[in-house]
Amino acid sequence: MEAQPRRMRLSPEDHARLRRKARLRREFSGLMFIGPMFVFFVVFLVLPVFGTIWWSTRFGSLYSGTRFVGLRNFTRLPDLVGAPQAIKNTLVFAGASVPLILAGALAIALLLARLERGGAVYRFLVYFPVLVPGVVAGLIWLFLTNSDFGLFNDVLALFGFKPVTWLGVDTALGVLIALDVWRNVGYWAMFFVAAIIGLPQELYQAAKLDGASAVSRFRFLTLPLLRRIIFFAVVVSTIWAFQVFDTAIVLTRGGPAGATTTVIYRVWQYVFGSNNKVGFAAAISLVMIVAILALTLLQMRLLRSRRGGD
Amino acid sequence: MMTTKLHRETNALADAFAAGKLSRRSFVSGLLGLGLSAPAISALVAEIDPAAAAGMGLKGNVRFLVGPWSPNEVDVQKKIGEGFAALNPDVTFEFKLYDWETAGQEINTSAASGAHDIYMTTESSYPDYEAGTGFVDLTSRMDDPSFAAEKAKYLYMDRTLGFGPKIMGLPISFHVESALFVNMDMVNAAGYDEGFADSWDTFKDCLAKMTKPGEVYGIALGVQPYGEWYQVLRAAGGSFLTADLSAPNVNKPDVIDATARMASLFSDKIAAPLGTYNYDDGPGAFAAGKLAILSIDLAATTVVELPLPFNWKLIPNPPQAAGRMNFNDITYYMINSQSDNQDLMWEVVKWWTNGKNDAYWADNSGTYPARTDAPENGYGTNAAPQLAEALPAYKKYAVGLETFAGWADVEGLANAEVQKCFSGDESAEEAIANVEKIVQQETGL
Repeated sequence: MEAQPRRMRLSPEDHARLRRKARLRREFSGLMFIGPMFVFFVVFLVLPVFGTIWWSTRFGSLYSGTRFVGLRNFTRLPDLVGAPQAIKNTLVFAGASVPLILAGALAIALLLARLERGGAVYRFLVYFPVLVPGVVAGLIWLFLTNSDFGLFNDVLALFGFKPVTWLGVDTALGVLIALDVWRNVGYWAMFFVAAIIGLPQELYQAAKLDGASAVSRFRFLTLPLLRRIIFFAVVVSTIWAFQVFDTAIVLTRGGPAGATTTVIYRVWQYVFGSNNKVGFAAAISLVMIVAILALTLLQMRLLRSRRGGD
Repeated sequence: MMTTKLHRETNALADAFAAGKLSRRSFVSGLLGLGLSAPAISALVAEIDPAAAAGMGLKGNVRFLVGPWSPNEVDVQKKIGEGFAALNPDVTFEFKLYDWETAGQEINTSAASGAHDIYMTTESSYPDYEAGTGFVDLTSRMDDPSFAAEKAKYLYMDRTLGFGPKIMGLPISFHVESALFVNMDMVNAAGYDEGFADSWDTFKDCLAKMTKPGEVYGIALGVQPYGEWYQVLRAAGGSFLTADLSAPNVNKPDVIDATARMASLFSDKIAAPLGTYNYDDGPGAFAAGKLAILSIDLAATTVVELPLPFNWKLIPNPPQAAGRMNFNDITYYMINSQSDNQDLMWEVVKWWTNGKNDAYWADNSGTYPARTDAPENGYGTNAAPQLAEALPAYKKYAVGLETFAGWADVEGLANAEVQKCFSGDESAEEAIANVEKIVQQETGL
């Protein structure tokens, strides 16, 4: 009689041990993948935030030492001359640029998604401003908006209009918003294009059979199906808008008459344009972090309730 | 022909040097002026006076961190270095420019890490360095009897000493932060002569007559974020702090009136709207005849393309003759306290700020030399003639900044605040009250 190979039987304890081992191996692999990113996250984000908290209680400079002043940097903030204007400018900038960017990006994405030929070329053209660094973009717009030989006024002159002081007190913030839209609309358009192309077509075919108009299909299908990516875009672009700085410093240096001075610009002024104000800049930064966090939570809550609490 | 001329002039200088009629420094400067290279000069000096060529046995590499006063700043610095290297062949130089916007942080970071040996800074930052330990106190060297004759030639030494007992740097220039560049052809066409700016009424009337809507503005104010309004404040009898630095001294009726007068140029549309021109394109607009008068600092003379196709001149700002005053600040060279060879650094700083080199640097930087002997050492040979011509006026009405740390912070914030009055967002009373508040907040008074 031929010997039958013995089937190896594992005890429940062995099963559990092997399962645990496999899970640990899987988790270890995962940790190895996210480890480098996590280290960078801690070193370049978590530690600086704690550093900012520490600096916000100090008076002095980075190089010549500091002393503890408690919460004095925070208590001085409400009385700061120009603070209301900087906050207002930041809110107006974010309030105008975020809807314009996202609405523009969605419109462009809807058009790009319908293209059957030459889509890559158009996508490149739309995305191109994203590749331009903020400082370079600022310089380009500096030339476009020049009162005497800028392109904008040349175009106006062609139609018989008077030249406009584009970087004047009443218009500079608008130019800054326009520049931001120009730079970022392509970025979010690419996100939306990818999402739109991936939408289930059978839903659209069914809607068409039911006689739904293009507007209805957009209103009741596209928007709900894109809600997650739109939510992500709203949160991220709002955070970015609150941090506007590079284009402001190149284009207008916060002026004229403080018309484009934003909160982050004031932080930069206190860190690089002043002496012994690092603590003050850190205090403003912390308030900014808390404000952005609160606004993000509010956005999450509002958008979540709109989509039925999922 | 040229070679013969060069040969003759070189021989003349060499003969004068050998006969003791010319100092070693003047000899080297003269040869540099003829275009001879540093090694060639070094060889000549060694041949004529081996002892002098041996010098003090200085050797090492000197690293400069300087501000860009003109587009040719590094070339100008190198030229001065060539003279020193001709006498001291074992000394080499490196030059790095900082950005004016971040000058303070760049200087502080560099000084703390020992990255450079010699630093250029302006008077507005001087009090902070005076209060710190990053730079060498030059008092003992300055007080050395052998240096007494040279020390006496530096201008405004009382101001330098006013910041405290230490001397942190040797002055190389003083700079007028806000001057009026005036197109005299337009002024004459408006029916005025040079006296147009002696009273506010004639000044404003002239501006109105020179303004052609959509084509030419009478004046551009606020093209730079510093200096301009401070002169108005001082001319109106105010200052950020009282003389004893114990209280604000801004909110005064005359200061409010003077500020309101400036604002009226905008409301009457004879000043270019704020934001029309900035520091970079303002000089070009003036050169193109788009602006009859440009308010900007004197270094703009190195930016504007000369010669201009019209007659122009520089006058003090604010324009009225009564109580006229202009604010100037000194530029210094300081030595990093971490530098190994302090004797070398001292010799280099002395060389850089001597009459000849001071004159040469200022002449190419749109500014004024901080030495009494600079005019006889060639100042005015390269600068715009209008700049040299205006020197007596700017010296006559000069005031320095106030000697408290943080003055520059106050000045920048105050200048921005006053612009809100120019734009009509605030009244002159509100703007001045806010400037006083800024003074209190920034000084802690």
